[in-house]
Amino acid sequence: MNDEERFTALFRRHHAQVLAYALRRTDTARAEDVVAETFAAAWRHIGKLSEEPLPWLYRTAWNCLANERRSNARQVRVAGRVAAEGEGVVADHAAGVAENAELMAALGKLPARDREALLLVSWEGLDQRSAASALGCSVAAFKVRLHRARKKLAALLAVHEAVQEA
Amino acid sequence: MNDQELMDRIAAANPVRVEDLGDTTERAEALRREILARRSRSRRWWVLVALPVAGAAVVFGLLRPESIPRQTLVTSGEAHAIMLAAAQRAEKAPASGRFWHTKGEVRHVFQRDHRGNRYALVATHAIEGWQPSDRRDGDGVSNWNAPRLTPLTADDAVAYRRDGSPQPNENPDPDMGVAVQDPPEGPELAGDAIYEGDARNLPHDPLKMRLAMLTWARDHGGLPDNPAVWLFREGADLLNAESQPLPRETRIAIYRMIGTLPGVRSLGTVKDPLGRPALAVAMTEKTETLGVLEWRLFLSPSRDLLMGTQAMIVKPGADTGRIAPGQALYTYSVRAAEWTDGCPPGRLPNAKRLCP
Repeated sequence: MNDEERFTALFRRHHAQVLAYALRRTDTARAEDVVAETFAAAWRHIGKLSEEPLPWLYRTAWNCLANERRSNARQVRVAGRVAAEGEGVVADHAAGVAENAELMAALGKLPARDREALLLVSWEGLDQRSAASALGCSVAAFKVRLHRARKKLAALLAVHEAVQEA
Repeated sequence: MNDQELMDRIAAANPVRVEDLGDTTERAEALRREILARRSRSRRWWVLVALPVAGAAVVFGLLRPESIPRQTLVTSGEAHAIMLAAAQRAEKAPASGRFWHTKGEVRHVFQRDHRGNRYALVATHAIEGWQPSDRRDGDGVSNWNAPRLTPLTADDAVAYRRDGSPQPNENPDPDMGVAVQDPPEGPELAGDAIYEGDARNLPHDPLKMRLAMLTWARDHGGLPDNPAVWLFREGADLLNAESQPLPRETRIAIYRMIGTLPGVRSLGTVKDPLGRPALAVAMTEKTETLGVLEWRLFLSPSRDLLMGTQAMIVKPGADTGRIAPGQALYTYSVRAAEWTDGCPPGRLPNAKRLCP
């Protein structure tokens, strides 16, 4: 298989996953740019990519998103998208949507790498080894980060629930 | 809610599922064809033209690999000499032991605005690292304590007391205290990638090393605003004592590479932030939100060791308005760094054998 065939196989296997990854983190227009930048980088590095390139692709996409991650705009957009999903839903779903909004708001308060650790496992469905690779750290460091992120998120949600009950 | 329930709740809130994307084949195939057509992978080889200038201290390397900017190589001057001397000390560095053991401290300044109280705090973390040289001894660890918080100035102390002198808290809710974060690796600059390429296999030639690092940055989010300062900072990060030292030849090459960067100045023999004698070099950078910063490296005069790094405020920016010029925004100091056959206090994660 030559480089072009390898790239084509990789692209067709992972395009939808990388697109979904980006859409979970930014708006549609920017997500398409991120996907294009990520696969352009994959093409440049096709000779060096492993047989399981998905963590590398996520990591590259994460770096492409660096600017807006730092500006925190993403948190607003994610929360906005969840709120938009709430529009027009039937009443039975309203409680679930509100719960989602609380969760998204709490996720938005976490440090970026903590949040990414949680999402790589929960949304991208990576095991801890692949998620550590996607986050660019050792498996041990990833486990520590994931543990702390869960603790922080649980504390944030508990505070919110306590306020709601008061 | 236990851990699994929490993870299930996050998973259930996934806003975009792959199966909900619909048929993206047409757009995807257009993108694939565009990427393949955009450039052939057969790379244009770069042309190096060294322009000899009589008595010149600088050699210009004219390099045009796609959009990587032209590189200028500095080959003399005091800062260059300091970095060459550091490279020579690296040639003699011992490189054996079961563990690379480090102790150090990160001190960083941040601003807080809570219920109308605005002040700057200094957070100081003590850090201790154990990096095994043999994988059977487990995964390397870096441990740090919760930070010690102190107001930056007397005015900050007044506002901090008015705010109730909040202490570090694991909870990121600002009403619960000051959120505990991992000790940062440096001030966060918008748009700058952290170099995470294969450092062990970087070319040893200073110019090729610079191009390899910049190419990596370009391919992972884009070139930094100021490539020379980025190379200075990221090169220093690769020399950082906290992680296990890179192979000797790579360390030597990194010292030499930093010495060739335009804009690196010698600060001469100075006291480092812990009051120890050190040789220092610096670069100045105008940033978008942190103002004008001076990045400083403190080198041991006697051994292969980057004793510390520092970012000083030269002119405050939008995010550093409460920090006066001359104050350090960020300082990392190494207190101890050595190879040892002694053992860490606890077993390292995934260790396959006992120590001793």
